Amino acid sequence: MANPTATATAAIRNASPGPSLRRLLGIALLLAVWELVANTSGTRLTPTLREIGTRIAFDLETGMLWFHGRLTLMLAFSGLLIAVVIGCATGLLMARSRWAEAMMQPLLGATYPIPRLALYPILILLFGLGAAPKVTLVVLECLYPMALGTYVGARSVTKDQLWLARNVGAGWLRTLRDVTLPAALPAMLTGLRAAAPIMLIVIVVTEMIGENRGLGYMLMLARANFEPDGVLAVVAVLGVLGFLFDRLIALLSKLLVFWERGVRM
Amino acid sequence: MSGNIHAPLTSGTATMDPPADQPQLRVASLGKTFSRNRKTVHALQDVSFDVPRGQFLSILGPSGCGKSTLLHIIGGFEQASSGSLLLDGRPVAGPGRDRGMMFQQATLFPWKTIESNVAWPFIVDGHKRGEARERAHELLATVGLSGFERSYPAELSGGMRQRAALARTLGLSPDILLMDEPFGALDAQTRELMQEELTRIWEHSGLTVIFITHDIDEAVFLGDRVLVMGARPGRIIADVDVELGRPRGTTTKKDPQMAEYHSHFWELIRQEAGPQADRNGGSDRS
Repeated sequence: MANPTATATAAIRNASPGPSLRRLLGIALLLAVWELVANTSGTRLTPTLREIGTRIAFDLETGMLWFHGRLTLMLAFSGLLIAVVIGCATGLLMARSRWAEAMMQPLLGATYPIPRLALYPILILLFGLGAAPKVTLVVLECLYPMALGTYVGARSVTKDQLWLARNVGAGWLRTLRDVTLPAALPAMLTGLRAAAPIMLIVIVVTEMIGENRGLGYMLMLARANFEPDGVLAVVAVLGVLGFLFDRLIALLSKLLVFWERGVRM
Repeated sequence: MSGNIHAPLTSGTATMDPPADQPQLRVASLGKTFSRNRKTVHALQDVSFDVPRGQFLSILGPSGCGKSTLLHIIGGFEQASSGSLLLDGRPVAGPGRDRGMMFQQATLFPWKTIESNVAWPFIVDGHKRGEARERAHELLATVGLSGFERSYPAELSGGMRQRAALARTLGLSPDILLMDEPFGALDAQTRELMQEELTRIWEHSGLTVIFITHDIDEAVFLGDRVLVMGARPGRIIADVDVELGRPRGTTTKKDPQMAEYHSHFWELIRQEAGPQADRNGGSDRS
């Protein structure tokens, strides 16, 4: 069947070398530069890729990575999950209610540029050391991309689509489920994609302060023992995790937002 | 109106039709004003007309004459500022399935297949999935879209999408079909085909249709009657019965009467537009 847009898109994709290959090429280049620096500098501060790899294997073997990584990811995902729930609700409310929109927009705009990490000492005073202030900070940071993504997405529902729903006699819940949420989904996933790396950054930074477990603690421990390979092992693991999450969300988008052709992540 | 066949007096069957003297839709002194930049704009002023059951009414007018606003008010999506709107004698309050709306854009959900789009109103109405799909298939066959049930809207042409939208609207089993320039965004050939298709479907349906357009030939070809609207304020400047026979088809378009209607309506619109006709670049597309 004739579908010029899809055919054209397919043609463009086929003409260039695999996009995933190009993606890996950038990473390979970075690693090559690092290796070059490591081999020529001759200081212990820049261990070679082999040394970092050996350290990762060692940390895996001792169970350190698994133990600390699991704790970190648990807190990180708890925070993200809460942020997704609150962010989506806020975004939907803002898109549907002029009141909520008028109230929330300046609030988000004014608090967005504040470095929320600076609130961490206060959160510690409020909640004590432990999981609560960390999760709270992850929620605070990830809330913005989720709320804004959902808001933009829900706003993309057209007047005609809403009128159609009213014409058909769909109630608000049915309209939310069958019209607003699917229409908002692409922008919500973009929000999630922005939130995922923020989640990792925030959780690791909080673990670097007055903590005795988690990947951030592992990193600080290696630093205290003057083990650059240990520090970089954690950094590399974080990089891999970030990359995996990103690809996972991209794959999710492709599966869920199949109707948006030409949008590639 | 020609082609109006009266039932023989000998027919003794009792019918459940409402009293014949009551129009299905009565629009009386309808007005719509809104303020834009602190100025009051009269979108509609003193618009009155009746629509008898089963009539195909075309509403013809230049862009900005408030014809879409009028349709939105009849659909219950917007509220009139003054006047009254009676449907079978009852005032209209909000949208309802008795008035099926077709938009300028097909407004299909891109994440649903054609079949699911057409089945959606049945699902909302509480029908079972399989039953809804069956009804959707029947409706798609009516508009000539069999074989495209599993396609997504993005895979169809503009004309096919409007066919699907028509199928979905027919699925509401409306008493009145409200069509807001549904073929306005289509290319000329597709539009002509869609006009013939709509005529064919309508002539078998007995539906009342209110069809908004700025295309003179489209208004005449489709309509039993044409209301011509003028702009600023939006009001009715002519109410003309179209005396072309039914069924209509390709040959109707070659009927010399078509040309007469065309020049008649064009003259009306030209007079209405006056010397400023070209100021907004708003020339008619005919």
